[in-house]
Amino acid sequence: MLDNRSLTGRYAGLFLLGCFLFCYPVLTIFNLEESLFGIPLLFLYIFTAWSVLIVLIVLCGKIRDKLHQSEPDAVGNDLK
Amino acid sequence: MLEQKIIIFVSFGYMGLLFAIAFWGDKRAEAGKSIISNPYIYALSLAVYCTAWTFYGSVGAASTSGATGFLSIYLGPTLMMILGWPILRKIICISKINRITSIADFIASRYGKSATIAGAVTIIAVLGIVPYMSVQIKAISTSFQLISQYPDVYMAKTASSMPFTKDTAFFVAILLALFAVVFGTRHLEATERHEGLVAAIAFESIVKLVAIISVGLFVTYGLYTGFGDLFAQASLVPQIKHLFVMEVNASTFTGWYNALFLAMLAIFLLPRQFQVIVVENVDENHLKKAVWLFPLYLLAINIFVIPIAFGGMLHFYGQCFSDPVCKQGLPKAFDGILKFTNGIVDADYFALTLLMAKKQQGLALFAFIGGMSAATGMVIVETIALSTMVCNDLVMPVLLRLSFLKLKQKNDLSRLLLIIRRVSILLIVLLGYLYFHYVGEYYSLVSIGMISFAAVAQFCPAVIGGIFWKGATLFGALFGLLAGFFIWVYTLVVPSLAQAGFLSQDLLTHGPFGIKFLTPLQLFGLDVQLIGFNQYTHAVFWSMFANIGLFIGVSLFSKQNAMERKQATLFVDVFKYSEESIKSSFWKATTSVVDLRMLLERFLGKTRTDNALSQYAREHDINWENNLIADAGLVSYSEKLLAGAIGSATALVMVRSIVEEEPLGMDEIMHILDETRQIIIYSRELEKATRDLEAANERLKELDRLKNEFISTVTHELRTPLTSVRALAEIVQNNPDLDAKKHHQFVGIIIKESERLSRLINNVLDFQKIASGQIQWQLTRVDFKEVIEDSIVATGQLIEKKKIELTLEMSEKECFVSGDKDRLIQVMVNLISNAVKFCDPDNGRIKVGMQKEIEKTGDNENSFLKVFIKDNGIGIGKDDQEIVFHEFHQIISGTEGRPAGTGIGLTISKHIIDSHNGRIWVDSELEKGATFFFTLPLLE
Repeated sequence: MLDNRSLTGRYAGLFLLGCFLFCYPVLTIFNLEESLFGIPLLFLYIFTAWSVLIVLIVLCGKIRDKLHQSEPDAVGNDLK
Repeated sequence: MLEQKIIIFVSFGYMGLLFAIAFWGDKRAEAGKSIISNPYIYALSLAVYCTAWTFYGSVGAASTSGATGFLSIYLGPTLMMILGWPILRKIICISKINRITSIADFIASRYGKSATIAGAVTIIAVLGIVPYMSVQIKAISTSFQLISQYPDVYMAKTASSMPFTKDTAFFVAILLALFAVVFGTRHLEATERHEGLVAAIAFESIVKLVAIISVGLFVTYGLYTGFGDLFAQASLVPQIKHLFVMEVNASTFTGWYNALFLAMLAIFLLPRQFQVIVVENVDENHLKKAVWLFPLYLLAINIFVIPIAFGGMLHFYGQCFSDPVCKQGLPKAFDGILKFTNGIVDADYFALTLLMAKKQQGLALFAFIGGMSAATGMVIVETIALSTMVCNDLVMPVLLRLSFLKLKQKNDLSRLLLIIRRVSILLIVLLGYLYFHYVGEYYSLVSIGMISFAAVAQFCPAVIGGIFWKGATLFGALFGLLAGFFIWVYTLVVPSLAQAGFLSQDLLTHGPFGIKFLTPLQLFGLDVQLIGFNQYTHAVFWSMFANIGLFIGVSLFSKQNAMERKQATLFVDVFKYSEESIKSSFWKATTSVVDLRMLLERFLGKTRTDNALSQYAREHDINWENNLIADAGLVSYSEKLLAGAIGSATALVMVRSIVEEEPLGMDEIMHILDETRQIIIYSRELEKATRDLEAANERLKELDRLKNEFISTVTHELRTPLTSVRALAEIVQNNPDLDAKKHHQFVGIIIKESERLSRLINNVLDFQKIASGQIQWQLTRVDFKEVIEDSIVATGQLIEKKKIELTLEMSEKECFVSGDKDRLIQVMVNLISNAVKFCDPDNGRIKVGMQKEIEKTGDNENSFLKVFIKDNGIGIGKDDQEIVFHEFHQIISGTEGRPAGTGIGLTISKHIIDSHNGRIWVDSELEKGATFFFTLPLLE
């Protein structure tokens, strides 16, 4: 069973990933005068990374539910 | 032509709609069918974060500095929401348990419900938010002016010379304040939660989102064929094209992190954000969805910011080339303002002016409503949050202390509370107007907002430190806050006042009293140019440095009082205590129910008091008619109720006024518990020590008894040979004519008995030596085969005499051990003679043998020698197998009586074997013989 502490650990990890995605050195990697799909690369990168991060936050909460369901307790009932 | 009447009508219509929603929300809440009790409304209410700053200001920032100029303000909150589960949930839980009403209340409650720190936080919050408030006033009044001159997009520069009566912003401020007063204090009761308000805010969040997306869609797909087309067109203008990338330099670097950091903190430290995230939270589980819904909202509201900015720039740059004034002053890098012949165009308002220029009347009006909804949402929630703080944490504590007002005797104070709140709302909005009027004109929306962000960031050490570090003290928090606030004033407010002409410009260039070292914009001689600090980064750096430094430093060197310790434990360990244990009372005193009821009625009004008390009675099965004394639980319950209305610091003062006793802190309780536990541990240790002593005593007694027995044995053993020696010697002396054969026999016996005597004495001496550790071991490399052979030779006579059959079982190889050969022989002789002594008298058999064995412990292999001496005698009972090795112990069997020997042979053997790092034991059954084993470590 996944308790609050390990959930906290996941979110903390995700936070670090977010910090990495939006840290200045990483931004400079995409700071090119080029366009992809007609959109300047830097804009595209920030918004894509942002979207990915949001999807990951959703998953972070969702996977927890699944873990709960897949591990029945001793009596055989699904855990809440 | 858009008539002003229509604009005003639509505006008021919109506000009316908000009222209707709030009214509906309150009604539903009263009926118990809350509409805000779901994560979606919760997430939308958090979006009160997006104000006019977002709606208008972001566009301006994007058009002067591209993506990095505005996105960090929304990425910061996204990052913070990821930490929502560990951090925000903890704050929410703490606040629910303590019925926290505001951020000032939260900080005060953590630091021992101190009224001083509550007041300090309130003052910082109010002054810090004033610039932010002015942003909203500026945005609403400017956008109103713009849209009412539709389709003319140019506006006159500066309104500061205008008298108040002719300034639109003044009327906007008055209207906003009145709206906030009516909206925020609709109820007579002062409660901490406002369901209707949250519903209205959530609605506003939808409106501003839809508005900005509509504008964005129109620009992207109405004016251009899509993002590709828009960016392609934009790339043709060099001033726009350079915004596609960020300038890589120290200034962008520090600016990016500074904004990210401030926004992360602002998302929960701004009074209105604290209000919606924490105070108005219905269920902490809503946070689970809100942690991604809110970032999603932020993403959505920002998608079209860049297209709107670039669309606006493309259009107005086009206009600029045909305008003589503008063409002349067309700057290389865009600073947010274009000066035309007819007036100026401010990039902050592109979302509106671009639509107006394109003659989109309806859409422009919708955009105006969107911007207004962003601004009013902020003003309403912020003023409610701030007025609650001003009332609970600043005005009431002072009023209650002024004894001449006799407030403590007044019956109904709930009306007074409302009046204070209303007046403070008016004052806060007016302060915002004054700031806008005198200072705000010189700054863009975003830069004014940053001043406020830097102010609320000062709460960070006290809040975050407070919920994770029990050692944080009131003085630490207070000194940190005040120092941070002072530097904030000095580095951000003073320069802006100097710019507005209230203070001498010399201060900025030469420092106070000509001390260059203390220049507000280059404090302590920091070379801001070199390290890329702007005014805000500079202020944040120094203020946070002072704040965190003092917070930690002073905390480490100051003490907490009992209440602080209790609250610190409650805050930091909020998840450790069950709800019941937190609800349980910390008051050791009681008061009368009547007094308590009167106190509650004064602040909550009669109806709410009745409801609350009857609910308590139901839960605890109490009948108020029979119960005249309020117990500790009820006092505690009432304190929490009061805290919900007037804040925890004031509530504590009020409850104390009728309950004279000091509250018993949980920490004290835990301290007492701790002491009790210590005592229990001590007494357990004491018991154990007593038991040990008793055991030792028993053993001493036993030893004493054994010693007596030993002495009697020894004396007996000594006397027997002595008697016979003496008797025989006397016979020999008295009978000189004794025949030679007899004479020889008697002398033989005398010699044998003397030998026995000396052996006995040697044994006793040996034992004494070994037991007192005086023995000197002569360690050499010994072949144990020799030891066995020697000892068999030594005991050969004995064995032969008893006609015992001895078998040997040994390997041919030599087995070397390290030991004292003589002592080892002594052990073998002891064991063999023991075996001889107890062997079957008629058909005695003894087997002596040795073998190598290997013992595995983990990775180590220890090889050792195992020696055994087996007899077929009477055997030793299980119970006696251990004690045969104890000194002076002899097994006394019922039939045989005391065996021969001193009873120390085995003890000596055990001592010798132990000293050789070996082990000795016996395996036996009664009547089936005994086998003595011992082991010795083998040498390689």
